[in-house]
Amino acid sequence: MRGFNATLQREVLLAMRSPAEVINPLFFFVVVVSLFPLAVSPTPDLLREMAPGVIWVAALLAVMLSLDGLFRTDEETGVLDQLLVAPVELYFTVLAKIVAHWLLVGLPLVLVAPVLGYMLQLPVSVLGTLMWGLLLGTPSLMVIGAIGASLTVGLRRGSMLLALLVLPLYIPVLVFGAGSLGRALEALPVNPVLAVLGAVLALALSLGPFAIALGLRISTGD
Amino acid sequence: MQDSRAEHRSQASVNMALPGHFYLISLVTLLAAVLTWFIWSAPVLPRSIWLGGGWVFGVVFYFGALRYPDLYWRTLERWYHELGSPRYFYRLSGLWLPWLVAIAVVLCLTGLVWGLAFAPPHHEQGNSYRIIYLHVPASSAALMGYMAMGVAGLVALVWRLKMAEIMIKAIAPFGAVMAAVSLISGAIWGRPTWGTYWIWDARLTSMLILLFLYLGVIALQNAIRDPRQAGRAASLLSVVGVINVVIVRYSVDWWQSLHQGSSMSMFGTAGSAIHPSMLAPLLLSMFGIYFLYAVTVLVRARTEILWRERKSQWVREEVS
Amino acid sequence: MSDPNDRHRNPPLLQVDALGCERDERSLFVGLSFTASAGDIWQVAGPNGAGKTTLLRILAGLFGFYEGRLHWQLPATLRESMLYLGHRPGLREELTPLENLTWLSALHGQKQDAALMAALSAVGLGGFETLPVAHLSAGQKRRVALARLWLPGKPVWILDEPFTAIDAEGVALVEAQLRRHAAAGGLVIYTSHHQLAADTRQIMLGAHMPGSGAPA
Repeated sequence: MRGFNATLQREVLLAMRSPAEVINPLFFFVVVVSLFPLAVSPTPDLLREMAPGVIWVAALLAVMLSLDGLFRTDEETGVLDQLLVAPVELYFTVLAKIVAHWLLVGLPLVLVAPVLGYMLQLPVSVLGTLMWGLLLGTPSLMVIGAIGASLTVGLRRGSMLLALLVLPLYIPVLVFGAGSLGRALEALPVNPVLAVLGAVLALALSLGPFAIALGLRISTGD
Repeated sequence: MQDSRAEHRSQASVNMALPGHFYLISLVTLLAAVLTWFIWSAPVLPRSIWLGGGWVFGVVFYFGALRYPDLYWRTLERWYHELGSPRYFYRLSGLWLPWLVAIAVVLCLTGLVWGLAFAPPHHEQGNSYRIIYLHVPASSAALMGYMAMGVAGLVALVWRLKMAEIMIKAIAPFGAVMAAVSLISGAIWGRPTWGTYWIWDARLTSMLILLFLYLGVIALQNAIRDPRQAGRAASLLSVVGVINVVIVRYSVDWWQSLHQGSSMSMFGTAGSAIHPSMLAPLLLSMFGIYFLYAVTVLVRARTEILWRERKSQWVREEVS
Repeated sequence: MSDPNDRHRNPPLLQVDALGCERDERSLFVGLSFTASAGDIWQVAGPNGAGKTTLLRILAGLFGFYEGRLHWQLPATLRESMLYLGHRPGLREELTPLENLTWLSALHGQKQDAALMAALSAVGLGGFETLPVAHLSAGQKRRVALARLWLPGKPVWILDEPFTAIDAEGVALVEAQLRRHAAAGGLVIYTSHHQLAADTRQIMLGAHMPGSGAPA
C-alpha cells in the first residue's frame, strides 16, 4: 500500500498546477454533445431518442482522449522509470493514478452530464440513471483506456493507435451504459443493467491495474 | 539472492500477483471459463463432437497421467521444450507441413464441392444457404484464432515463451482475414435473406468487433519497432481482448434483445437441427479451414523464426 | 572479471556473467563479465550509442531483453537497495523540487522534509525548494535529482550521466559524495565521459571487448 497515498496526493497536486488537463476533457464533452442538435435536428423527440448514445459516446471519447497523457509525460521526463524501480507494488501506484485521474476528469463528467441530458430533452426522471450509469461506467473506461495508454506510452503518435486499441474494448461498457438509459426512458427496470456495469467495474478494477503495470513494464523494455 | 534476472522476473510477477498468486489464478480461471463458455455456445459444432473430444482427452489423461505418469509428464515436458524452442519447432513443423497441406486441400475441396454442388437445397432458403460452407468455417476459425491468441498471450506473458509470441504474430493476420470473410459472406447471404447487405444482427456485429480487435493487435504489433517488445505488447493485448470478447458477445446479445432486431439464423429458425446431409460437408469444410489455418500459421511462424534467428548458426545452415 | 590483485576484502554485490544485449538489429555488447563489490566505483565508458544507458537499465531491472546472467547479492531486494538515476532527471516540471523529492522518498519509504531540505541545500539549492522545477536551469534540475544522493539507505547507486549539465563546482561536490558512499561500503556504477581520479574501475563498451576489471 506504500506509495498509494503519496501518488494520489501528487497526482492531485499536478492537476492543480496544470488545470487545463482537467478542464479540457470536460469542455470537450460539453462541446461534442452540443454539436449533435446542430448536426441532426433540434426536434425534441429525436433528441431524446439520441441522447443516451450521444452522451455516452461523448463521455467515452472525452475519457479516452484524456488518457493519452496519463503516462506520457511521466515517460518523457523519466518519472516512469523512477516509478518502476521504486520498491512499491506497481499495482497500487497505478491504481492511485487512475483513482486520481477519475476524481479529476471522470467525476466532473458525471456531474455535468445531467445538465447536458436536460438540454437533450431527457425527462428529469431518468437523469438519476444517467448519473449512476456514468458513475459506474467511467471508472471502467478509465481502467480499460489506461491499459491501452500503458502499451502505447513509448510510441510517437500513439494517440491514434490508442483509439484503435481501446475503442473496441469500450463496446460493452457503451452498450450497457447507453442501454441502461434507454431502458430508463422506456420506464423499464434499470438496476439489473447497472449491476452489470458494476460487475464490469469490479473486474476492471481488480484485474486492470495488473494489466496496466505489465503494460508499463513492457513499454519500457522488460 | 538468486539470479537477478530471475529476481526481476519474480519481482515483476510478485509486484502484480498481489496477495500470493491471486491475480494469476483468477486470470487463468477466467480464461478457462471463457473457453468453456465459447466451446459450449460454439454455434455450429454439435455438442456431441465437443463431448467426444472431451472423452478422448479424458482417456488420454487417465492412461497417461494416472497410469504412466512418468512417461506422460516427460513427454509433455519434452514437447514443451521442443515446441518452445524455435529451432526444434522449425524442424518439426517442416515435417508436419506437407501432411497438413495435403489434409487441408483434400478436406476443403471435398467439403466445398460436396456442399456447393451436391448437398440438397434448403427448404426455406433454397440455394442461398450454401454460403454457410464458407461463412461458418470462417466465423468459427476467426473466433478460435482469437481464443488461441489469448492462450498464447497468457503463455507468453507468464513463461516468456518466445514461440508463443511468434504464434500470436502468425495467427493475427489470418484471423483478421477470416473475420473479414465471415463478414463479407454474411453480407452476401443477407442480401437474398434480409433484402439488404448489412443489418446490425448480433452475430455480424460481434464479428465486426472481433475484426476490430484483430486489427488492434496487428496495429500494435506494427507500431512497436523492437520485435521482442512488440510480441509482449501484443500478448498482453490479446489476453485483455479475449476477456473482452466474452463480455462483448454477451453485451451485443443483450443489445439485440433490447432493440428487437432480426435474429434469423443461417439454419432457418433458431434451434431447428441441421439436416445430416447438409451437416457432413459443413464439418468437412470446417475442418478443412482449420487445417488451412494451421498451415498458414505454421508457414508464417516459420518465416518469423527464420527472421528472428537469422544471425544464428543453424539458420545460416538451413538457408544455405 | 575480478581484478588480479584482490585489493578488497569486501564481498561481491553484483556478478555479471557473459552479458550480451542486442538492440535495433545491432549488437551492443557481448560476453560482458565483471564482479562489483561493496566499496567499488565503476565507470561505464564508451562512445555514444555504445549501450551505456542500456547496460545500466539492465542492471537496474528496467530492461529485460538480454542474454547472460546477473547475480545481485544484497540483503534486501534490488529495488529496496538501489538508487537509480536515469539520464532524464525524473522530475515533473510543474512540481517544486521539494514536492518531487517528497513523492520519490515516500515511494522509497525514506525520511521526509527535514532530510530533504538538508539534501537540497547540500546540492546548493537552498532557497529553491518551493520554486517549480520548470523555472530552474538544466544544471539545477540535475542537482535536484542528485540531491537524492544525500538521502541515506541505498547501498547501490546506479547513475546515468550524473555529471551532465552541472558546473565544475557541482561535479566536485558529486564526486566527493560518490567517494564518501564508496568509502562507507556502498557500490556506485555510473556512466560518464568524466573520469574520476585513481581508483575507479572501468567497463569499456563499444570496442566489443569484455569488460576489464583493471583499475583505470
